[in-house]
Amino acid sequence: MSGMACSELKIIGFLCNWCSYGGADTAGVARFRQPTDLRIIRLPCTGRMDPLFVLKALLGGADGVLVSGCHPFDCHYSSGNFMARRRLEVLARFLPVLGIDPRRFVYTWVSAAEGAKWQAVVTAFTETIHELGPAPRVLDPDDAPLRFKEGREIWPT
Amino acid sequence: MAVTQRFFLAHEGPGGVAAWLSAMAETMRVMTPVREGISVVFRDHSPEAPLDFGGLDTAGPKAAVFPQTEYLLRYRAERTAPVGGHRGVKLEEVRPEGDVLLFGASPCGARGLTLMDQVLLRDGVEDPCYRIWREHALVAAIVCQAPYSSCFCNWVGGAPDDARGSDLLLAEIEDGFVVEAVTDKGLAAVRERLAVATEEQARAAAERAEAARAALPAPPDLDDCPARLNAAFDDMDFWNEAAAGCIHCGACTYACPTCTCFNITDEASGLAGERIRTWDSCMFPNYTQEAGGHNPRPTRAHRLRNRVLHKFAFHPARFGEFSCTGCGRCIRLCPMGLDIRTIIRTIEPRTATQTTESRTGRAKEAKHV
Amino acid sequence: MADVAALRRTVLEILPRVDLVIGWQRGPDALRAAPLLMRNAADVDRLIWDRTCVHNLATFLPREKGKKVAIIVKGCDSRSVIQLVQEGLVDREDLTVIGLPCDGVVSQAKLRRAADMDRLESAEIGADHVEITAAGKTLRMALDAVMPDKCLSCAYPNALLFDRFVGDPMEPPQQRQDPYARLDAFEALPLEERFDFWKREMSRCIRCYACRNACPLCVCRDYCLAESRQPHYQSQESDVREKWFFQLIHATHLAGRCTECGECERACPMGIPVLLFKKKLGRIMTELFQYEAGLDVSATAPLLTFQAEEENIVEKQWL
Repeated sequence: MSGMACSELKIIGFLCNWCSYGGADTAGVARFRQPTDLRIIRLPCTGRMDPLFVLKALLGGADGVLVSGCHPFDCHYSSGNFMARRRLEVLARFLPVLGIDPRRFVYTWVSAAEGAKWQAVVTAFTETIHELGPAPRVLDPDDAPLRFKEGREIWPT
Repeated sequence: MAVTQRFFLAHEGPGGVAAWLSAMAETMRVMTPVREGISVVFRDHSPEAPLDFGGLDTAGPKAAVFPQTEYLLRYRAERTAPVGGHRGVKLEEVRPEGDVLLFGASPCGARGLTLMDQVLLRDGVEDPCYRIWREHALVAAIVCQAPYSSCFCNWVGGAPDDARGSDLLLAEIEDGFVVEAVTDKGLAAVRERLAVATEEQARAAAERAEAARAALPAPPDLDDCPARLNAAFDDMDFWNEAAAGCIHCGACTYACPTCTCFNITDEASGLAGERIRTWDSCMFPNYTQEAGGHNPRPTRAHRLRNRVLHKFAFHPARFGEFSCTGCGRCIRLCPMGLDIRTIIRTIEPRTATQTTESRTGRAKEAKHV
Repeated sequence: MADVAALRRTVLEILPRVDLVIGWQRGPDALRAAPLLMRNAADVDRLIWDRTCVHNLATFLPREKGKKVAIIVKGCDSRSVIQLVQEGLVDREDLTVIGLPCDGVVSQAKLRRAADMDRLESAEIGADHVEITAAGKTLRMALDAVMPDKCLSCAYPNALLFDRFVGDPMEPPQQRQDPYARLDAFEALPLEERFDFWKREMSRCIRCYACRNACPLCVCRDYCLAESRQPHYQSQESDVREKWFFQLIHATHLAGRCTECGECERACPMGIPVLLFKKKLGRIMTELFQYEAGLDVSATAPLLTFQAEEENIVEKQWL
């Protein structure tokens, strides 16, 4: 696990203010041991999640992205997480066409009371990302993208 | 400048293209046209790449000397001392570096560089980055063999074997290229490395060039084109009609070998960032949009008019030649199938009443984009 | 294909009641068309209708909003019109739709692969073939070989929404190609290869926004996120990351709305297969929500609604 056995990877977490951010806080107050790879961005609601946030993070060098909000039926704004669920599920299924491993993105629900669940989620997701290793970079300094590369041709139709 | 020495670059073998490019690549970046799908693009040369000299490269050569993104400076907010210092901004000027050989440009693309020079290397308002790129670039163009249906270089004073803008001009013959050293810089690149062309080879090259010139249909007379365009400036009916099918994308301007418009933005990330210059297109709605929201060119018609007049009226008035090399890339690449030749050929000043009508029309049109 | 004389008659009939009629005219060569905005009877003489009429003219509708407009549509184009009406982006009251039956257009991209289209001299389109003379060579090709994939897999050859229908309705092709055949082939590649593929393809992009502007449903256009400084979604740099990210803006903003008309890919001057992104999203919409965009003016797009208990979404379980 990072901070202990190997070097840290970059994981971005988008957390709902009302549930998962509280859940992460609960886990912290309870002094549950957690990996430190996650960088948290607080959102008012997962309904605020634009799938582009995830894509921007993944193309920008994140090795994994975690979105967590209130359980269904528990949204502070009643339907934000229902809307988010559809968008995020579509996004999860979209990633493979970009050549991005879909395991690098997860969305889930953690309530403010579920400190232990938060610990489990973060630990499991961080482990997955460490198994996958660093994500391939779009802007790789070793890469010469302007050099001819033999590649599969997919023609415009 | 006026050197007329001819050399021979064989297709294969020790004096051949691959060997020469490899030798050049030892001291500079070498870019060659490569076919990718239905496009031909300049890529860093690699010996495995199948080179494509059959025709025009899709997007033109200008990115080699006028990159789509030019980094002008980097900045970072810093403390002058770890403790007690004050916060300042550290600036670092960025300038282009390194020589580049652009091999296999089209003569119309290469000539575009001379027209860009008129804008960007003018006395008193010289662009320092462009100056460096230009000085470090070696342009080897290849004489066209058979024109495209979208070609019209001979309308605007060009030719399939136009040497302007090139340092080396290559003409393909049976077993290789006859290389004309147009500039001293070009001469230096071939003098020690290539054999001198035989008279027979030089003659064969000249014949091919002559045939290519003859293959172009006779051009219309465009001497009065600037006058006709200026007279039709207010004829918004005409411009609305001409721009009717335009979707105001930047395909025509970005592929144009003479378009030089740019935008400057600061791209910040945290406490650091860079100031960049990127291509802009006069076809975009926010081109010339002012901070208050007003845009002097509010509709597609106004913007298309600007593009056409810039190339065929304003630029000639200042620099004495059309800012168009007749490469036809804007015609080939236009997703909607618009043809600039139709405009410059058909535009006629309308009668006074028509113009008055269209003026009223313009006020009405100006609201929508 | 319906006869152009009948189409012209219909246009002439409608023209007095509208501000303009949108159709096609001959473009720069025999196999390219261009849009034609007809305002008076003389313009109608230039109207054409044949297999070169590839443009989805619905892209002009939002920008002509507020005018009385008539538009000529093929089956695929009509789906974009339906989508625009569904979203309230055009006013059905102001719109007169002239529907056509269509059993396929020709693809410039496929023609380019087969023939020297830049040196096209003449072309003749027959019932089942295209004969092209280019650079002194004559080439006869089966129509199927030069039709866009969307025509080979077409399920809606007739306009789905129309006020006037010109010609006789057609049957969809007997043996429809799988609309996702190319996507399947692409997804059969290993992940790393797909990632590298996009890096290479996107490096060719010149960020001209032809894909966006040709798209009938990309209606923000002048207020696009890609050029917005506030919020600052993306940099103006022209590196692969920014260019790729722009495609993802385009694709995600079309999720559940895109009718897969293929205008983005057709418009791309650099031949980048950007339709793959939208095809993928289209298939996800079908899988998850059994929804196909552009069929019903009164439908609600799947991402604008939800079910408390989703039928096809299985959420991740943690131990």
